[in-house]
Amino acid sequence: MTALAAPLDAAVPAALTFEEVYAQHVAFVWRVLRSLGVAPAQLEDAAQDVFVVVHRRLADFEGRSAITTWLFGITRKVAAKHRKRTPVIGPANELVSTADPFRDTARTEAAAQVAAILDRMDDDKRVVFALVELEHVSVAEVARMLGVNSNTASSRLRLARAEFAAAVKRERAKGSR
Amino acid sequence: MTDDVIDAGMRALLDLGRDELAPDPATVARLRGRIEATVAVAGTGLGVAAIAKGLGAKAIAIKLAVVATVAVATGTVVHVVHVVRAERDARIVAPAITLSPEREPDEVVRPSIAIARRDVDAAVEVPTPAVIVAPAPRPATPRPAPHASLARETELVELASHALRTGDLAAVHAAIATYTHETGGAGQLAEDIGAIEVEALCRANDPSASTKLAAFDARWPHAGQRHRLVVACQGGH
Repeated sequence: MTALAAPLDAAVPAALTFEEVYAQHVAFVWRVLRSLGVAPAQLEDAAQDVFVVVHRRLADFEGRSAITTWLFGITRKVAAKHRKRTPVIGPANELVSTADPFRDTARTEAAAQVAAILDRMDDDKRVVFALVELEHVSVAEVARMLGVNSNTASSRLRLARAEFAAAVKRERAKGSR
Repeated sequence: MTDDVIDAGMRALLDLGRDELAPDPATVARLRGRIEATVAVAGTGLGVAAIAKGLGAKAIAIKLAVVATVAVATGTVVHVVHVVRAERDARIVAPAITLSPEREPDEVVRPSIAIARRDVDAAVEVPTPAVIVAPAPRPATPRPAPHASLARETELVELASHALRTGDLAAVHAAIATYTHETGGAGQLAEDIGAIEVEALCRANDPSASTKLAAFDARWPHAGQRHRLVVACQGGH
């Protein structure tokens, strides 16, 4: 039995194991870390820190909130620490290099474009936009995650969407010249 | 302004970008291995502490046996971590184990194990597990804070949480004191340890509970543990 497969506390809902949380939410954590301003080069270390905490604290997850809300709380703390450690600098569209050179170019370019636009947003708008548009979290849940009221979350989302749309239109205009 | 400023083309862009912004399978697998190694390291530390507690540590001979066990365990730990971190040019700090021979006979020995941690800014140092037998009572000079690794923080939170669940309030406060000492109160899990402290005080009907709860609320007004604390504190009084 591996360390990760160790039995968890009885307080954890029966179906919820670390393995499941990891498999189902590692991409969520990764993207949220990115949207919270963690530099690409720090993502792997930060994600590791998040899941070490998750492994230790999963027994305390009481299921009163969505697992993503709980994960977001941990991820936000870890992101804050990593941002202090390594300020985000470098090109706005810096992406994590992948070992696979055969990735579809269109997808890579799309990711670069999305990442670049997100990086230009301010922190408050970026995280709301990323949670709603990339993670498909409801605005109400985002408000709970961030500890703001729904109107504030909606307002940030509206501004972020407008910013995103304007940026994409600018890129399209450049491409059509 | 309406929500449909995002047209179909932009939605497609977001969908494509979403998939690509996720870690690739190789990264997911590698990350999982790193987590497993880290968890195994922390688990070793907890296991050793549990062994020491179970023994009661009344004799030096037993203490020395614990030291030997820890030395072997930390050697393994360092090896595991070194292998995992090596390719990332990480620095591994040698674990330091401190035992004081002046402890009371019935005092629980809690070996302090500084779990190997990463320091990306420094050069690689080959670790040598160090065992130090302190000649005097507990060192008076606190270690500079904050310095605890996340693994160490989670270990202490785990200890405090476990002690709380088993009703060992003295152990809860000991773990909290250690956490505060090692992190300067500014650790990544300060909110978690703060919640445990408030809950412990409430369970003990400690008069300072309400003050602590107010301070906790002020520092973390949106804490996820808020509901649990309210229940614990209402039930405790």
